[in-house]
Formats: sequence, C-alpha cells, structure tokens
Amino acid sequence: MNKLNNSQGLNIPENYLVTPAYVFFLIHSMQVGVGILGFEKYLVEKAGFDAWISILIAGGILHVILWMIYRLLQNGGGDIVEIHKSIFGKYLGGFLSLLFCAYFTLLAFTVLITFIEVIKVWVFPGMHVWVFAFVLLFLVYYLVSGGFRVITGICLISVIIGLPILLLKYFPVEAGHTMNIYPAVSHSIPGILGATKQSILSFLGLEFLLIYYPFIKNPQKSKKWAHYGVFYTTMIYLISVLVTFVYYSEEQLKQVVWGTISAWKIVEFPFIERFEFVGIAMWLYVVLPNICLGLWGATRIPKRVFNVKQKYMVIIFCIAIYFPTVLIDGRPMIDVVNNLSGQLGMYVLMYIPVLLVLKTISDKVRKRT
Amino acid sequence: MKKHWSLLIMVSVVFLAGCMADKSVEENAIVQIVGYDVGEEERIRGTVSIPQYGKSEDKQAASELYLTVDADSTKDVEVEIQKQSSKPISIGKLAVTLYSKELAEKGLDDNVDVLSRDPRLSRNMFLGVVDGSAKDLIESGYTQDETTSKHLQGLIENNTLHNFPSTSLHDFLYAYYAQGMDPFLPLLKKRESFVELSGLAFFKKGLLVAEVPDSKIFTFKMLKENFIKGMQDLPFEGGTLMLENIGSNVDYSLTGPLDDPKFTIKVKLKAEVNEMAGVDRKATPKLAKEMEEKFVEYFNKEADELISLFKEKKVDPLGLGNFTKTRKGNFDLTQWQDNYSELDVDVQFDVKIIEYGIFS
Repeated sequence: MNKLNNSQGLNIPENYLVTPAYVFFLIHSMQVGVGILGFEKYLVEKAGFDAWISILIAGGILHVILWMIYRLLQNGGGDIVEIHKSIFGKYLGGFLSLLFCAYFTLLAFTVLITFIEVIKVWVFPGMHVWVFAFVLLFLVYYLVSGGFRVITGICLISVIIGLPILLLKYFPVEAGHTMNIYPAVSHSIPGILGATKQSILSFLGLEFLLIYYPFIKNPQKSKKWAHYGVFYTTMIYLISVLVTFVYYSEEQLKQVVWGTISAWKIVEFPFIERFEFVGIAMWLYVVLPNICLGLWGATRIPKRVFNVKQKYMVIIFCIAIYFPTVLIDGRPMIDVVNNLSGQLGMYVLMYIPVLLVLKTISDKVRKRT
Repeated sequence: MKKHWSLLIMVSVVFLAGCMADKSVEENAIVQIVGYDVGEEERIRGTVSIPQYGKSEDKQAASELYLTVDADSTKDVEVEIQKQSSKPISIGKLAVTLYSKELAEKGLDDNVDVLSRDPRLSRNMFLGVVDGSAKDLIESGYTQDETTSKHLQGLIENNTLHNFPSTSLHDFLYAYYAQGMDPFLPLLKKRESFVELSGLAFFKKGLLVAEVPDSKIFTFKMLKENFIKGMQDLPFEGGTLMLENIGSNVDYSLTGPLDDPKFTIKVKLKAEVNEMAGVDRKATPKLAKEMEEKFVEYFNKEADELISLFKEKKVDPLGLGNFTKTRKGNFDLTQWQDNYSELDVDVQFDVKIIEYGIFS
C-alpha cells in the first residue's frame, strides 16, 4: 500500500509524475469545495446583485497570482520548501514551510467540518459525527497513502461527477426572475471590492501548486492548463452566482445560508422529490479531493523539512483532525473556523507576491556575488 | 495481506448502510395538508389530514384521519399533533398549507419564518388563504377517490395553468423578502359540496390587506406574467363573448427620474374568441376590430382599477418597486414607499383576435 514515494529531495521518479493536462483538474477540484454551496450570501451582503463583477475581478486576480506562482517555481528548483530554504535559510525557511503545513491542514479540516454540518442540517440531523468522520477519514487516509497519482485520479473523478450537477441550474432559472441581473451597477467600489475579497476565499486552493509542482511532468507545459482551471472555476462561480440572483430576491438571498442547496430544492422529479439529498450525496465527491489534497500537501511538508516518512505523517494528521472534527459542533464555531481559514488563505495569497519579490532580489544578489 | 484488510473494512462499511432503520409508508403519518386557524386565547388551531394507507387488499375510498390541536406556535402544532398520533409524523410530503383569513389579517410573519427555515419542506408547496375556517375546509371530504390534500393541490396547480398566477412557497418567500414587492396568495372558499378558488389575497409583508374577486384575476395575471391559456368573458352587444388567451406578453418600462418615475406596462394579448352567444353577426375583420377595441377598453379599465386599489392599500404585488431597484442604481425604499400612492402607471393593452374556432 505504501505508494508514497520514498525518494528524498525532488528527483521524483517518472512513475509518480502526472501529465501537464491533469493540472487543470487538480487546480479546479481543489478550488471548488463547500464554499460554492453558500458563498452567494456573503457576496450579496457586501455588494448586492452587483457581486458578479466581484467574481470576475477575483478571477482576474487569481490569474495574476497563478502567474506569480509559476514565476516563483520556474527557477525555484522545486517546491515551496526549497524556495523558503534558499531565501530564508534552513531554520526560518523551515518554520515558514511548517506554517504552510498548518494552513493546508486547516483548509482540509474546514472543508470536512463544513460538509459534515451540511449533512447534519439537511439530511441526517441526528447523525453521529464520530462514525461518519471516522469512515470518511479512513477513506481519505486510504486515498492519500495511495500517493499523488491516486489523488489526481480523485480530482479527475470529482470534476466529472460534478458536471451533471451543473445541469440542475436550469430549474431555478426557469422559476426565476431574469430582470434581477439587469446590469445597473448601484454599489460603490469599496462594496464591490469587499465582495471580491469574500469571493477570493472560495477561490482558495491553487496555492497547492506550490507543493505538488515537482510532481508535474514537463511543468512548463502545465501553465496553460492551470490557467484554464482557474478560468473554468471563475465561470462556474459566475454561473452559480447569476443563477442564485435570478432565483432569489436580494433580501431573501441574504437570509439563505446555503444558496445553492436551497436552489436545488426546486428540482423535483416524479421519482425523487428531494433532489438536494442526491446533490449533497454527490457533493461528497466534490469535497473529497479537497480533503485528500489538503492532507497530502500538509503531510508532504514535514516530510520535506524533517525527512520523515509521509505515511506516518498521514496517520498522525488524520488522527489530529479527527478529534476536533468530532468535538466541534454548531454554526458559530464552524463560522469561526471558516473565517479563520479564509483570513489565513488571504494572507497566503498576499504572501506570494512578497515571496516573488524576495526571490527575485535574492537571485540577483546571488548572481552578483 | 494488508490490502485485504482495507478491502474488508471498506466492503463492510458499504454493507453497514443496510442496517439503517427503515420506515414504511403505512407506519408513518404522512401529513400532506395543514390548516391554521385562530384558536382560543391567542393560540393557533392547527388541523392536519393524514391519509390512511391500509394493509388490506380492498380498494375502497381514500380514507383520512383529521386531527385538530390548539398550540402556541406553528412548530408547536407538530408537537401537539404528535401527541394524538399513533405513528410518527412526517411532514416532508406537505403539499398544501392553508391559513384562515382571520389569521392572515393578524399577520403570517411567524409562519413564514418557519416555512423558510425547515429543510424538509418543498419549495413547490402551495399556500392558500381560506375565506372561513381552514378546519372546516379540510375536514369535509370532497371526492371519493382523492384525499383532500391531493384535491386541493390539484385544484391550485391546475388553476395556475389557467387564470391564476403561480403562487408556490418559493414565489411567496421571494416576494415576502424582496424590497418593493409584496406577496399574494389564492383565496379558497368552501361552498356546500366543493371548494373553489374565489380570488386573490394581497399581503403587505405578512399581513392580509386586500382582496380581489376571481373575475379580475385574468387581468392581474396578464399584468404579472407571460402566459398561455386562461379565459375571460365580456358582455358584447347584448350577448357574451368568451376570449381565450393563446399567448400574452407583458413588458414593463420605466422612464423619468427616480423621484418621479413613470411606468408603462404594455400587454400584448393574442386571443381566440370561441363563444359569441347572442351576437348575431358574421365574424368579419370589422367585427374583430370592434371586439378588440371593446376588450382593450375593458382590460384598461380593470387594470386601472386594480392599480388604484394597490396604491390605496399600499401593496405592490406587481413588484414595480423591485423592478425600479434593478434598473436604477440609487433606489431608496422609504422614498419609494412614500411616493407609491402617487405613482404614474400607464397600462396599454393590445388585443389581437386571430381565430374564431372551427365554425364561422
């Protein structure tokens, strides 16, 4: 079962690499997670029905950040750990890398508890979290210990399974009021930028490229696929937002916690009256790569810093997020965790340009000496 | 060997799902209709009907069990009903919720909150206001083969395809929460042996403030949405004309500044006249022209009456405020509401009679 490669450093054997096109799925499936189920509410609170502009701005910003990440990695000689080491030295660099590890773990944890909350509110109010979390984390352990290629496979499956759910958008549009999206911009620039910040939170996930970059074969060729991935995510978010804007009135959407799931409620077929159950069940496959890749990224960093076996790290990390998952309960606490990981994600995204500047300076200095 | 262990655990997890407690239809009290009345001492009287699915073979008439309770709140009704029921109550199939007019006049805000909060309820559920007591309406069976809930659900659903505008729970909540838009619900009335849709009830937030009889609903629906089907009669030269809608299209447009807006509502109606009782004339283009003029005059009058009623009661079921909000950036709700009663709304009908049936 131990497919986690044991190679030290970054000379990863070819049989562990993935082709450049898979970066599209890796980027996209990591970005789309639980956020899309209810992010409309936060956008509307800031910018009303003009929030679609914010999505486009956020998408644009993400393209720029993606470009920066590639610039960083191109001549960085590997992943974020390597870059940190070359800029900050062994100890400070290692510490910063561990911060990334903490952030990736938090991201996986956030996705896990938010999805469990969705199941508890919508499907099984009396569900025993400890059982479900155990089964799910066992599955995650199984997949993560399968190695990076298995995770890539899960990302691919998740994108494909997520596709038919998009067709459901037809029903709310049919029942909706299209005049709501008449583009009369009524919100000030600060409002729209505030919503941009909110929507960037749902775009988090492409920073994992910093850690799985060495696993891409011909990484230069993956550039365009990564950009396609971000573009595809932007389009899906844009469609989701426009559909909820058509379906709900502005004040109503502010009260709806999970805009997308509530919109699934309108879908009724003779053989299934509550389509949101099917949607939520299928969403597990959309959420799964988030947790897997999150934990994989989080465990890869200690491996690179301390040279420990990643397999043991996966077990430790699974146990470490299992207990808080069981203990955390209720909307307020989950909101706190969500806000925290959002904040941290924001800092990580802001840290990337800084890192790029530092890297350029240090390269120049080194060249001179 | 390691692999086998994981496989074994995975497989057993999959099969464990089969250990989930199952529920059969006969062992559940599936509530499909619930009605609320004003009870004694500021309480709510809730009535539910539960279809009884027997295990016996004989296919007799659909039988129902009616339970009525007094409770402190909408959710408390469920609790109280559970006390009287031998089976667990399940409200996931709730299809119709009725409120007595008395209750609606006191306000439905608490109820709306419950409806929008509960994930088990369908968004396609119908709401209705009962002219009289909701309890009486539910408890008198109407047909032999259908349960009351199925009957009422069919009644409302069928009519929304014709003269009645669509009024599902989602439509109600949409208008309830929207700025510059007010909800409306169908009004049901119990006659001796049947129920009829007798009109529309208009709400200001959760409060019933105005009613319109069913004769005006065709005009209202034309102002509200695009639709096909629906009929309207009109006296004409001593006889009666029956006009059947085969496609009506409504278009709002807004001109003028925000503090003095001017609305133009253009309705284009393509119609077929399929009854000309007592009209002794050949169907000629000249007659069609006269009939069209007559209908335009009639619809204009009706629409003006409706809009002045809305202005007088300060309700906005057409969502003119909501429309303004989407078009003008700096929409101010209080200013809009202050100006609403003096709003300039111009309704223009354009009726085209294009067919006369298969006999001339």
